[in-house]
Amino acid sequence: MAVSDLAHVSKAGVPARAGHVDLARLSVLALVAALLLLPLLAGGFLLYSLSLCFANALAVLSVSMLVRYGGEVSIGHSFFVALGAYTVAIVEHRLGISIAVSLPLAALLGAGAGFVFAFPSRRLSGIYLAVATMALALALPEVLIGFEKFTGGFEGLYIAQDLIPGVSKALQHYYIALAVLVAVSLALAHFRKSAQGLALLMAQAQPRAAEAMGITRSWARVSIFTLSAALASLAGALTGFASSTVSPNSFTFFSGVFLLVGSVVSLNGLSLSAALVGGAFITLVPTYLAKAGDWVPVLYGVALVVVTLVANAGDLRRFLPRGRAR
Amino acid sequence: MTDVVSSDGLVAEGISLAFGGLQVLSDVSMILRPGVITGLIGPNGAGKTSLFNCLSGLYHGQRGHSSFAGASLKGLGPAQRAACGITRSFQNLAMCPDLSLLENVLVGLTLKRRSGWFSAFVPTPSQRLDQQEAERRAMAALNELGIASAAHDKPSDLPPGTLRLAEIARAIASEPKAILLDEPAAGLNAVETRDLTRALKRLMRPDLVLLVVEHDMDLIMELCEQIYVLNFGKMIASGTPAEIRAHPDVIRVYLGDDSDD
Amino acid sequence: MSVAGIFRDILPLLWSGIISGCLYGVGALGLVMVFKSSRVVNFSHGNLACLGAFVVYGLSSGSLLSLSWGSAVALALGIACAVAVASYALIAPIVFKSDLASTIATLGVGLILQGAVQLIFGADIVNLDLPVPRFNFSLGAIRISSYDLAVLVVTLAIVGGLYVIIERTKLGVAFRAVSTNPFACEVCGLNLRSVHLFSWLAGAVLGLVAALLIVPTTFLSSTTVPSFMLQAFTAAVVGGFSSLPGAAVGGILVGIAMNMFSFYVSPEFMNTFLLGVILLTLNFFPNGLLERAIGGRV
Repeated sequence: MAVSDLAHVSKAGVPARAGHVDLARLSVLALVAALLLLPLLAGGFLLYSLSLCFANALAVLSVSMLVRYGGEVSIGHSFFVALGAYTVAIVEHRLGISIAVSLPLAALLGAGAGFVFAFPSRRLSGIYLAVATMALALALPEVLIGFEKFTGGFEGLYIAQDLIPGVSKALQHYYIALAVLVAVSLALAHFRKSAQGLALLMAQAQPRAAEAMGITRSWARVSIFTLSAALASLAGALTGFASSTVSPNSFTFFSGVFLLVGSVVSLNGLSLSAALVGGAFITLVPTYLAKAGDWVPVLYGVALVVVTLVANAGDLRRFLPRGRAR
Repeated sequence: MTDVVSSDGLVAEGISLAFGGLQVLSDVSMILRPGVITGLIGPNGAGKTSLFNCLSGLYHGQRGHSSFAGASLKGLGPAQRAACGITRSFQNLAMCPDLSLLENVLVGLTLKRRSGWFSAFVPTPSQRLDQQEAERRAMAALNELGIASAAHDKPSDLPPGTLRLAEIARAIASEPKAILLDEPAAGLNAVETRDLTRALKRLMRPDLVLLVVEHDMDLIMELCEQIYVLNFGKMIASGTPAEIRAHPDVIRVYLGDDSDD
Repeated sequence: MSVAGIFRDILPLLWSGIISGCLYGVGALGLVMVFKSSRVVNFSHGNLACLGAFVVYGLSSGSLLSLSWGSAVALALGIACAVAVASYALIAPIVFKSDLASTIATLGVGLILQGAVQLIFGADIVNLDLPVPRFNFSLGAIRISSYDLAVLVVTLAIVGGLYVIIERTKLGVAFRAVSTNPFACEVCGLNLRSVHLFSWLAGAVLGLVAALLIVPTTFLSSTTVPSFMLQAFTAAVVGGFSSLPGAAVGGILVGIAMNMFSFYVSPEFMNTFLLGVILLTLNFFPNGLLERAIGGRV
């Protein structure tokens, strides 16, 4: 798995794998270097699309994280993305403070909302959570439009404040989104080796065994959802910052489904490159297929079905023994 | 009958368990003393696994109670009993397929880990120390069972014998006060069973409670100093291997069947 | 508000809640049948129902053809069943392997159907009425319309029919067996696939019927479906998600609660209200409100 190789290979790592790790590391470094240098060549619209793409990649990561570590599907992560985006906008409007404060605040609020949301279904099977996330996705537009006083209703709000005065907006958006994306993918690679990461993976694969090691199911379910929601909210804060505006148009019922599409298309990968693939898919497809309009849901649907079928039908051995377990 | 409960061991008293109308255990008592390897045997369907699950907190008997080191275990689930220092192994190999063998054993140390959520995402010096310490303990456990060379392999690439030993390594890694092993020799060949017997004898300490549930009579007779025999949900005999061998009921229901074959 | 005023309001609210609740219940029955037999949460349920309703509209209004309402419904049922079979066939290779993956795949099917509706019928809002004679009469404070009676009759017929199939036919016995213990059924030689197919077909029919009955109260558009689907999902959760009577009763409870909320609190936060209902139910009644009353039977 590319994730485990991205960074922090513990010294316990087998020497035989060193060559493979170095190659993977080098290609990721080359990718990051290329992205760092890109603004020298490209401009305007491409930079803007890529900044959004980075922010969406983070949102896709939050869904993939939930799938990988929790074995859960969410189609309502658009709620937490919106929470982050509106946090940035409202903090700027009401308090006049830039994302230096609202970015971490967004992550905290996301964690809080994720906890409150996941807590009721902590003992239940994952399908209940999936159903509840659908309600979340549908409730979102109502909340955004209904609390007009804070959210600006249909019109939405503008986000104008810079983080670093004097640097061009486009470059700021681009580099800040890229920096957060790289930092998060490094943090996720570290997480895979951490006590909590291992415990969550065990709780998902072998809930009873994990229980006997002191890892309760409810702890696992609530913590992974809280983390994932915090990440989604962070992604939303960057989406708002990068697009300079927030409005209910960007958060329909389908935006949550699209995040899941991005995650599935990137095979729920947690590496930087997987996140970029997922982010690019959901950012660029609608932009470049804007004329095709109604074909976009069909395309996304086909992508979901085909990738899911290929990914699951190919590897029989892994799914058979625990197919009915949950 | 047991007024003088030895307060330092794992004690089950008068456990009764029924599923619907089916009485699985009736008035079963058992004392697991520290420093003694205790065996639990019985024919298939005798209720061994049910009793085992009552001890590990997965089931809760309708009657009776259990205590550990003098403290009642009433109402505690598996996770809470793990926090009390009771660990168990699983009959069906409960390994996470995405983790290496070493990482699977590391999970057994979860309750001993000191790193918080922050250091789960950001490397810190204390987290590094914690990680090294945990890896050292996990490797030591793997070494003790003689499977350290497979530490970095995925479970799917390893034979069941090794995984069985890894189950035990995971149980002992956290240095628990009580270890409950559910059919540790299932699926092992003769050589592996011998290695297992040696490993279990080696890891015995005076303050450790160790229970082995098995249907392999030879293993139990060789390994255990105290043996309980369960049949149709009732405890029909208990004693040393010699006493059990000579016990008329045991010969009839268990060994008798064996010798008929 | 006076006490008399509350009573004057509450009876009609209860009545219309029961009527729309019947439809949520019928929608929920389809979800629960699919879930019980194949352990898949069918997220394409609403999209398929929407497609079916649009087909009825297209074939009977003259936008595609001008058939009679009855023959349009018959054709739409055929199409809905064909799509249900096709979507089950898509999911069939993974349905025993991973509940999660199968559930994701149904979302994909839902998206495809959603796109198909928009491509064929556009994003317009259309009206689709029931061909029943219009009349009203009053019963105390309650005004009963011919539409209400139609809904009640159809719901009772469907629930009764379903009951007979599940309790009295071989297929129904197989369905009950599969939803209790799929593994044992496979060992005994029961064909799980045919039971799955039965429940998916039943789901498609139930969904379409619910959609046809609910559309006259609002309107038909490709975007109203997800929220109707949410009402059915909420009904299923309130009923415990794996109980058929639970789904029916859950539908009625949700219908009444929504009516009350919309009248006394706010009609603009319906989905948020349903979200709250789902979360509260999951927290306090994880197996559904009716767990004690009727157990897990059927």
